[in-house]
Amino acid sequence: MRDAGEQQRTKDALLEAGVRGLRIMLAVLVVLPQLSGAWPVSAQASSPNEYSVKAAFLFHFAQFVEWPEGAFQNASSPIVYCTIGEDPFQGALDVSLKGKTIDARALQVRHLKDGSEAQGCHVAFIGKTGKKRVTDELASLGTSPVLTIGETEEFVKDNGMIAFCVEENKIRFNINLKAAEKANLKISSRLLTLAKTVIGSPRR
Amino acid sequence: MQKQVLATKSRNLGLRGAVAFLLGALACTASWGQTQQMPPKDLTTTSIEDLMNVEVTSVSKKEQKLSRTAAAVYVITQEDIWRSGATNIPDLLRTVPGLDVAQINGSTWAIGSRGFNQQFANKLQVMVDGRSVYSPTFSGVFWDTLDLPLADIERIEVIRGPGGSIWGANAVTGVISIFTKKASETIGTLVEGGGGSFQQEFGVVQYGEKLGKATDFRVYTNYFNQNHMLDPNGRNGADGWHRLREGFRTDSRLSPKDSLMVEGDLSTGREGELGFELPSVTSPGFVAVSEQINLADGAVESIWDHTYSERSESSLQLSYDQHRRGDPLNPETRNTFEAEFQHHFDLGRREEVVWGAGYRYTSDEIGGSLTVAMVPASSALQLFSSFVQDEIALMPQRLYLTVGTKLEHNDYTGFGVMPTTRIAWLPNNHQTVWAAVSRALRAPSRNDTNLVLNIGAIPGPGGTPTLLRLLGNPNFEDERLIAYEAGYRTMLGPRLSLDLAAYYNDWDNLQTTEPSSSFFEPTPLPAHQVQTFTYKNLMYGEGHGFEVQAKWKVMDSWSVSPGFTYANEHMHTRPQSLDTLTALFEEGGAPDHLAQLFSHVDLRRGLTWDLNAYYVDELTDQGPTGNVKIPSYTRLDTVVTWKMWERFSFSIAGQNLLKDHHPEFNDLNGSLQSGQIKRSGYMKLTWQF
Repeated sequence: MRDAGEQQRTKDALLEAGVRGLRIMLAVLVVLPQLSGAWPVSAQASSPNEYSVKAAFLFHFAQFVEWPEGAFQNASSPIVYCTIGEDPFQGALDVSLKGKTIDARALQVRHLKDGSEAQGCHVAFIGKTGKKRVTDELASLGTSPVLTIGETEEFVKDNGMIAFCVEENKIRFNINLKAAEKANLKISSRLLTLAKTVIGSPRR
Repeated sequence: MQKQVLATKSRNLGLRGAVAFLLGALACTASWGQTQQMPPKDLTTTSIEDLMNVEVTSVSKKEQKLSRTAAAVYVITQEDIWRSGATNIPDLLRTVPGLDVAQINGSTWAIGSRGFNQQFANKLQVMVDGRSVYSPTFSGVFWDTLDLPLADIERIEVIRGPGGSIWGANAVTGVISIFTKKASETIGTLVEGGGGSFQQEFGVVQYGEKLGKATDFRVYTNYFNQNHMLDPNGRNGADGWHRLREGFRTDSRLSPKDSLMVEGDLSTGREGELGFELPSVTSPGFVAVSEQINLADGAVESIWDHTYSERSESSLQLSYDQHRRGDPLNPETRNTFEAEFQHHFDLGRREEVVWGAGYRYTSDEIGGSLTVAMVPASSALQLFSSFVQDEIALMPQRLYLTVGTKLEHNDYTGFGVMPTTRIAWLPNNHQTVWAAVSRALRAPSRNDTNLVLNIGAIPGPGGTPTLLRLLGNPNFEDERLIAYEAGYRTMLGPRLSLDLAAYYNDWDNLQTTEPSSSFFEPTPLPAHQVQTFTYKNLMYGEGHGFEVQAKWKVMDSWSVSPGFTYANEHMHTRPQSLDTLTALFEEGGAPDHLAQLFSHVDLRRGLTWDLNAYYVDELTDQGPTGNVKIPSYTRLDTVVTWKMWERFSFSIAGQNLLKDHHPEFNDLNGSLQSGQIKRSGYMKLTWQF
């Protein structure tokens, strides 16, 4: 008997909830169209994460760079992206490049502890691992044909090639053309015009 | 497509028709991941020129460092919020392993961590956008004033244990930091409304826009009206309440190196309760009286962040808030001003230093009644604080040592030092082992020092009644803790993660209630003898326990997270103590075992189903005389959310589904009658445009 009473109470509660919910929804539906006319409509979109955007930049950068002969074993060898040290992408780079090709080359991602393992990399991303380490990593890569990309303030001054910076929540980059040329990499002028600053003017 | 389905399917009649309609409609809607976020877009298809115009949200330094944090940290994300089905912050906190959340009545909760819990739980630091919201009246939180719209919460970080040197004197057993979304993340209009049997009606209307190039803002109104719970006898309680809140937030980029956040809110509400009142000096004890309490709160806060360089940044925070609580027994008005400065910089290439200084001025006026009063009725208190913390990378990426200390000065106990040492070892990218030793202090509150509470009268010699009275102790000292903690976090492959934390707490100088002087008092009539009791620091003890939680992605569309908490305390009183009740009360006042099981299912076509179960162990030695037991209970909540189309979603939720009603609390020190939570359900619509 008690159960039946309890069930009845539950039913009543649910019924009450239902009726009340419907009433509110109706109220909302009636009021809303009036409001939406009065207020400017804009999208409630949340901004993408910084590193998923940077990953897309990394994809594009490789399209604007020409590697010297010998950097690839053959015409179909993949372009190898390496993150060196702490990986801030947290998987975003792998996701962005998965299944993509540039000039019929597949894209590979490797996550490396430090630059000493960087043999075979074509693009190296060196995160904010602390100033000394970034210079160490850059030095260890020497003039091998690796497009070096970083995000510290001093990166391009320390002979890194492309450095991200964030300005008013938008991503910008600086290019050290001299460093790229030393490594025999050609950076397209289209990319140079988009850069905030370019160190070393293009040779004629 | 929606309309087509509606037209073809609605011709069918009856339940089968309805089901067919539902399934048909499901087949036509897009799948989705999160209520508040669009599914991730493949940005590589966007041109590089367009990418340069995309605004990004930065992963803060803090988030990157989460893996090497040497503390028991848990983060509630926006996704966790809507998946929980919770409609208020206390219910949301139930999802955190190790937190003990018990609802006392409609608008009052007891929330504790690692062993101590009561209505006036006083060992947690709670902050909203960096501003402390615990009340200096009792060092606890008026949870009923934290009614910010859940849709605007970016994340809640919960640290169990003393939390570290950065947070203040109240961060003894935990720190709860609520962060609201930046205004840039809430551009557009949000309308959310719903109702049900317990949460009778609730809604948010919010509008956000850009003001010029550098500023974003939002304004919102949030309202809810909640039904009453049941009283201990199963009759309708008197604890229904409603609350209206209006607020804004602006975020401005003043220069490439400076940003300014300003936010504020005003809220009013009215809540019912059965408050305990002593009707006369001869009354043998409290009687429950139905009361209506008017609430009015307002706060304004600004944070100015300045970046000196990539390796150095500072923030200055100023806030003012006013709290008015029209409790007929002890109406309170409190004004608090707070200023805080923090500077964070890299020292060399291996050290990260944070230091800061803060000041708080709080003044109050607390009215009294025969039952309860504060003497003096008004007070103004200052708190000075400073801290420094250094994280040293002993081996970069692998081994981090953090040392720090907080130095505070309060008007009751003077200077207090709270040092901590923490170490985190990351043997590889998937594992973290950490350990910490910290000292924490719980500084006295108004309640500890200035309370006058008349409890009841016993017949005395010669027909003169003896009134029992509890008095605050102006010489009450800090309650002290030395906490030893250790933990382990691991990713066991891409689908399974595990987080384990264990602790041993060495408590000293805890509060007891001791008999003190006795005297004759002619008024109020009839003339009576008074036997006073006062707070002393005569209890010590040990607490130990662990919290473990796993997150397991069983399939792409199904994940489960089981959690388990064990917390055990042993309290002892010093030989000079005559208090036999408090030790038992503290030991029995928090459950020894808590268990959780969450299941998240992404059904196809925008439909998600969440099932959240909570088990809470029994409470013993509760109630006014310590003879009340709260039986263990299992709470089951479920929520089905259907994102019908891109910007419109509908959800239906059931809460406390297993039993018609159950009690969660009955406090020895409580000021009001505990109620029982009923089974309930609600529906909700969310529309963003």
